[in-house]
Amino acid sequence: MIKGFKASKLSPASWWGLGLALAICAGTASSIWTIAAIIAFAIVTIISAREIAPWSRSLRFYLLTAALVIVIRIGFRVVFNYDSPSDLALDLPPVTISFGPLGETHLLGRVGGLTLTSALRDGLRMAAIILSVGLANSLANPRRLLKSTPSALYEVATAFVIALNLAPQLIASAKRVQLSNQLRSTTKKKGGSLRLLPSILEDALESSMALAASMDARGFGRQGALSNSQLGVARVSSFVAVIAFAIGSYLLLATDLTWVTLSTFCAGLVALFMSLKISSSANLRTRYVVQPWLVKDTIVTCVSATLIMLSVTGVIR
Amino acid sequence: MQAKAWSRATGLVATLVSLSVFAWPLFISQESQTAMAQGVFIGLMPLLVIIVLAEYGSGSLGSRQLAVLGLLIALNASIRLLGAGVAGVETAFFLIIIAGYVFGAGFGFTMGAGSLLVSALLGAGVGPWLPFQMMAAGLVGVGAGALGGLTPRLQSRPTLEIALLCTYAIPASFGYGALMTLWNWPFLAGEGSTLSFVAGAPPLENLATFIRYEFFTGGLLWDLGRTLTTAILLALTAKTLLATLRRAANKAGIRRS
Amino acid sequence: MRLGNFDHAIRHGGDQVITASALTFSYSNQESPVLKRMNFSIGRGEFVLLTGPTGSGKSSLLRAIIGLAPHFTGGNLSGSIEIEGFQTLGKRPHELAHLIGYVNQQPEGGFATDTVEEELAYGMEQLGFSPETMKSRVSEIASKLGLEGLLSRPLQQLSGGQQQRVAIGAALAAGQRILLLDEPTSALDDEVSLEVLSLLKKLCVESGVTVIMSEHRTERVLSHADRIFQLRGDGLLSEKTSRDESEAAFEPSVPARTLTSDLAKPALEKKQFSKHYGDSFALHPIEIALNEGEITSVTGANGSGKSSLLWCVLEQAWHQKIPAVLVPQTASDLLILDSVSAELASASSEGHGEPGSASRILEELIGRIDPNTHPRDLSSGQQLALALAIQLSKKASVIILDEPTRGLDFDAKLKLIRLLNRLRSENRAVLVATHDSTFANQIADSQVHLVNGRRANAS
Repeated sequence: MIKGFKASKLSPASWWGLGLALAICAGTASSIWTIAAIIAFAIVTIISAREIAPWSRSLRFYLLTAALVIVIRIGFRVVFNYDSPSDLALDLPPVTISFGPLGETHLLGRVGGLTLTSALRDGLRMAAIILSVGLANSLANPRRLLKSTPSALYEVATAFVIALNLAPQLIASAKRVQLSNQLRSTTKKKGGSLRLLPSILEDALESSMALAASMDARGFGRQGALSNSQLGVARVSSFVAVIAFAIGSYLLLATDLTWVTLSTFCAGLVALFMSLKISSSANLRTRYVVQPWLVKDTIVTCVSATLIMLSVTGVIR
Repeated sequence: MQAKAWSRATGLVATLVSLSVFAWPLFISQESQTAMAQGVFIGLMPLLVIIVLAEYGSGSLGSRQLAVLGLLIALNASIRLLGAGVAGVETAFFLIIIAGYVFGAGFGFTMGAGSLLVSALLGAGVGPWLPFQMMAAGLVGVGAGALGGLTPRLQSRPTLEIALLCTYAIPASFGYGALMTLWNWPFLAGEGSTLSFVAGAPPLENLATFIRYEFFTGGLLWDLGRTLTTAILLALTAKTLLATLRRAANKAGIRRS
Repeated sequence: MRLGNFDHAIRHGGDQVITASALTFSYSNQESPVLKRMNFSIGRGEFVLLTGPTGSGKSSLLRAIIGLAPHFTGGNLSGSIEIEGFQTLGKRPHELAHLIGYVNQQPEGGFATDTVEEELAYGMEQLGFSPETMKSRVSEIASKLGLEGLLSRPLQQLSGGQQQRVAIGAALAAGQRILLLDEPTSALDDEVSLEVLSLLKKLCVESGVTVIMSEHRTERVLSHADRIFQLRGDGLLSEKTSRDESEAAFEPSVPARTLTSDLAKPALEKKQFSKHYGDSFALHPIEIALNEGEITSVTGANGSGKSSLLWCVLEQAWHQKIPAVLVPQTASDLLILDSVSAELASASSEGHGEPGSASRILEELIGRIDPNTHPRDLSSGQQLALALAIQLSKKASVIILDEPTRGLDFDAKLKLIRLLNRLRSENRAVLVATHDSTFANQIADSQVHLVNGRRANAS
């Protein structure tokens, strides 16, 4: 990567777009070179662009998980193996376990070299997916992301931000209540922590009400009105989107018609986008922009979108 | 009111589509499509989660309901983080069930999805499994909400209520387990092993293979552990929690959603 | 709700900014109204102090003005309120947000974002200001309140005083001209309180903001306040006009303590107390003597280690099997049952004291409370009194109090002093942490002053 390019220079949405594109690309890829390229890109980018921040999960976690998945994949193919004599690599005693009406399971037996290599490749594919998500997660500030959600999701995103802020305080509060409970007697006694749950909950509910009051007193909850027709279009739009996804899924599972399937999914995306856009037009809120959307963000997002299109249509394999 | 009906319909269809997204290895008929399926569904599940969340949030929720929601998510995320690590002991569900039961299906869904999201952000780790976990946990909340809506008059019989909730813990825990195992089935076993799905095979045959897969990976043991933990926690805490949450709901004027 | 009526230009209703007539408010589970037919009128740029005993309705009045009562608290509100020329009775808080700023008792409980600048901008976001306006307003309000260098600082890393200033800034950032504050200095030590108070006065005088605040520790505010409203507890409001009369009432004379006995009998084996978290010491090893029949006070700024010292002493007492009780800073942590009567009843069984002693102490401190009230519904001062009653009724040789005066009005404080004197005569050892140096001077036989976890000489 370009030297000195740091994670916070790019909007979190861009990072997630990129991560998603890479994951989809890895998911549909079959060539080992594509997979290797994705893995290499992810690791290099994470190492060079990451900043020290509480949300950036260590690279080690993702590498370990990826390695684990590879090992499990290979293990699975070796253990639950179809006898394949053509290119013998491992000769293991065959085992068969019968489950009655549920069929039989063949274990071990003679393992072919092709089995091993294809298992390795599949394992690497899964590893690439994990690392792509790891890329997005390590480099994108989730709080910033929650701040820039479309207006239809604003309230839910607010609840999530509240939760992110409250959770560490809750653990401290629980300790405090447990200690205080010991105070009820004049000598030390063990406090039953489950008994304290309602107390902690009451305490926490009170503080959440205080937070709600503070938000409300500053204007949270003002709503503009959508005209009835706008409301109708927005709701029908999201319904259409979901139906399109349903049809697309059916086509994907039951048929071979790649292009029809893809167009259905695209139609669904368009409808969803429209619905979110219309809901946002009633928005009275503005956004205090700490991190503006720059040209680099547009570039990266376009690249991500192109990548998705190319992999899903089979151009990149 | 018409808008609300559309909202509910959209949410319903989205959850149904999500079920088929979970179960795709059972039903896929064309070998050539498996790669595309794997790729597309990674992107589709987060979209479905977003759709259901947007439908829930499209009504005016108000700061009080949001504050309670945020708080319960924070609480549940902390509980999940504290209880993690021990095999089968999954502490995150009892609160989702109780909250969904008291506040309704939409609240329950957001609570489930939010708990998984926040605990992932705060320590459990974000990975490609997350949108699936969010949807599955959300469905647990939806079920609890539906249950609560169907049995409004049980409030006067607390013992029956607790029994009902504990009973719900069984299909909820096994359902969650089944959905997440369905997710990791193609992920871990791929294709070509004797425990893998076969594209084009009849669904029942794939189902039999899946059950054998569950057996070998100990999935059923985890589900049993989850059920027991959830049921026990429910039995111990439901009475006081229901009272506390209902009191808060009344005091703050929060309606079921 | 259409935005039409409340656009950003504020209609000036003349010189009177808030006018209330026949304002009445009662909670749903109480018969007598907390605010009874109040009439008052407040002008632009005035600094108004609300005072009164615990539970007399100061917070309720502030909430009624901003609309949190009844929408967040339940209850019935009637009468009329006019703010900046608009009739506002029954309006929800977010409909009034562009007129009034409100700062609650604990500012950190009201933070909705992560960093200082986002918090300052939050209200403006909700009100739909353009991003450019928001940017300039944020730096404007930050410089007014001395927050310039802190804009990207996470809110949890701020000190109490800084958090208070952020809360005030967040409440005023959109250009509101009225500021309501509920006990803004209760959690702050003397020095920081003075800073905040002079800041508020500056806002009044220089920017024409009308400040209305409720406060117990009125002696600090007296020099700044233009008007003083007194709530007497029966729902009525009266205005204190004569300054001398109020000063006499607000400064009770209690004879200074003189140490009479030379024979000090230690209640606790003298031990070194210290507390550390990893490498950082919350409390460096210090020795203090706790003697029977003596009251020792621990003073110091917030974060100087007072609470750590108290907990150490408590654990030491338990370790030596000496019966000891502690009343924590957050008194409500101690209250875990459903009703006041249940709490009082369990107090006597826990402490092996005589039944009824707890309720006697409670009545002594603040008078009668409806025994069926849920402890969470009490005001903070009432909760503290209840916690004190529960713990002080037990037979314990060592009694430890962490900030026992927070939220108590002067009457209750006097009664607490009397109570502590009685405990001293019963030969118990009492340890009190407080940042109220007047109170410490009034009761303590010996004083310990902490600075940054070490013992220091009190200034």
